[in-house]
Amino acid sequence: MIRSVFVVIFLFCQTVLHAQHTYQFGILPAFNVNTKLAENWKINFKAESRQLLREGQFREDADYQYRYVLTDLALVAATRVSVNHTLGMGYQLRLREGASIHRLIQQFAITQRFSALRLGHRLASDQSVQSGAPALVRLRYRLAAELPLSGQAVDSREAYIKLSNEYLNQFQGDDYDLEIRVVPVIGYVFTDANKLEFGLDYRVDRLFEDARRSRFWVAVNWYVIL
Amino acid sequence: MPVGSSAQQKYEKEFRIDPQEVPSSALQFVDQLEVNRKVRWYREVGLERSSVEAKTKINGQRYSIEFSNDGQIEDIEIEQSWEEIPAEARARAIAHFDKLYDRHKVLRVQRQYTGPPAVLISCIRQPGSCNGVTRHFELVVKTRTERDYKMMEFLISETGVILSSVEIILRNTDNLEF
Repeated sequence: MIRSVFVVIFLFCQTVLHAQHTYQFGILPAFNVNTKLAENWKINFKAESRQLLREGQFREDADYQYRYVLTDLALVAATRVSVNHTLGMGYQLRLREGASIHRLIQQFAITQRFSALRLGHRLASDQSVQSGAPALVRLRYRLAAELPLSGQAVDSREAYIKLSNEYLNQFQGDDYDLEIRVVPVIGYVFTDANKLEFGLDYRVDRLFEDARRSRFWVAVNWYVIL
Repeated sequence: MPVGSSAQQKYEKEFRIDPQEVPSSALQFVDQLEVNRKVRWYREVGLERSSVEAKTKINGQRYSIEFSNDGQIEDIEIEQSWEEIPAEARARAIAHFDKLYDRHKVLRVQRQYTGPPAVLISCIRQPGSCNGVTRHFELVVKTRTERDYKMMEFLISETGVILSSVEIILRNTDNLEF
C-alpha cells in the first residue's frame, strides 16, 4: 500500500509539472445506509453528490465558481460467502444535467483483521450505458486500511484513520484509461451503527493522454446501519 | 462442554489507559518480567466483565498479560503459530472441528499460561522453568456450516481437548466494503 501511495505521489508531482494538466476541486458528500435483509444478506444504499467549486489548469489562475455536477444513487445487495468474504451485485443511477447513466455493479470484498489494523480488499466490475455513447466497462481494485487512533480496534466514540488506494481500468469503445484514487480520511464512530468520515478523495486519470486530469474532492462519508 | 451453536458470545472493547490508571500490583508484576520493550496498557470491556491488559513484545513475540480490575494476574497469552502446537493436540482439535463444521481455518493461536504469579514470572523469564504453570491454547477459528459463517474462539488443553468456546461478534465492515 505504501509503495502504491508513493507511486501516486510521484504521478501527482509529475502531472502537476506536466503541461496542460487540468484539475477540479469540489466537495463529495456521500450517505451510506446498510441494512440486513436475511441471514447472510445485506443491502447497501448509497447516495453521493459532486459539487464543483473550482476548475482550471495548474499554474494558471482560476476563479471559484460553484457548479453542481451529478448525483449517484446506488443499491448493492451483498451476501456473505465466508466469515470475511462478501459477494455483491447492484445497480447505480447517475443523474447529471441532461443525461442519465445506468450502471450494473458486481463486487467481491474481503476484510482482514490484524492486531490493530483492518484491511479491506474490493475487486469490482461495472458496466455503464448512456444513450449516444458506447458502453463503459470498468475493472477496479481497492485496498483500504483502517487504523484505530486508540486501542486495538475501532470502538464506539473512537476515531480512526483510513487510507484507501484504488485502480480503475476503464474500457470504452476502442479507448482505455486508467484512473488512480488515493483517499485518506479520518473517521469517528458514534455507535457501531453510525460513523462519519472526512478527508480528501484524490483522483488522477487520462494518464495516457496529453492533458491529464486531477480531481480533488473533499470527501464526507456518513455510514448508517438500520 | 459449551461448543457449537449453543456457544456463548464475545464482544470486547479496548481502551488505551495510562500506567497511572493501572493497579500497582499489575505494574509490579510486569516490572518483574523485565520487559525491554514499551508496555501498552488497555482496559478491556466485554459483555459481562472488564479487565486490565498489558501488551508488549518479549524476544520478538507478542504478549498479552491480563489482570482483574484489582490487579490480580489472570493469564499470560503469547502469540505463536499453529505448527508450534503439539501434533497430538492439533489432530484432536481438528477432528473436533471436522465434526462441528463443514469448513474451518485456524487464523490465530495464542499460548495461554495461568498459575501463581511467582511461577508465571519465573516461566516467562526462564522458559525452561514452567513447573506449576497450566498451559492451554487459545484459537481463533473461521468456521462454516451449510449456510452459517462464524468466527469462533476455542480454548483447548495441551492434549487438544476443547475446554470452552465462544462466538466472536465481529464489528461491521461496511466502510471497507462499499
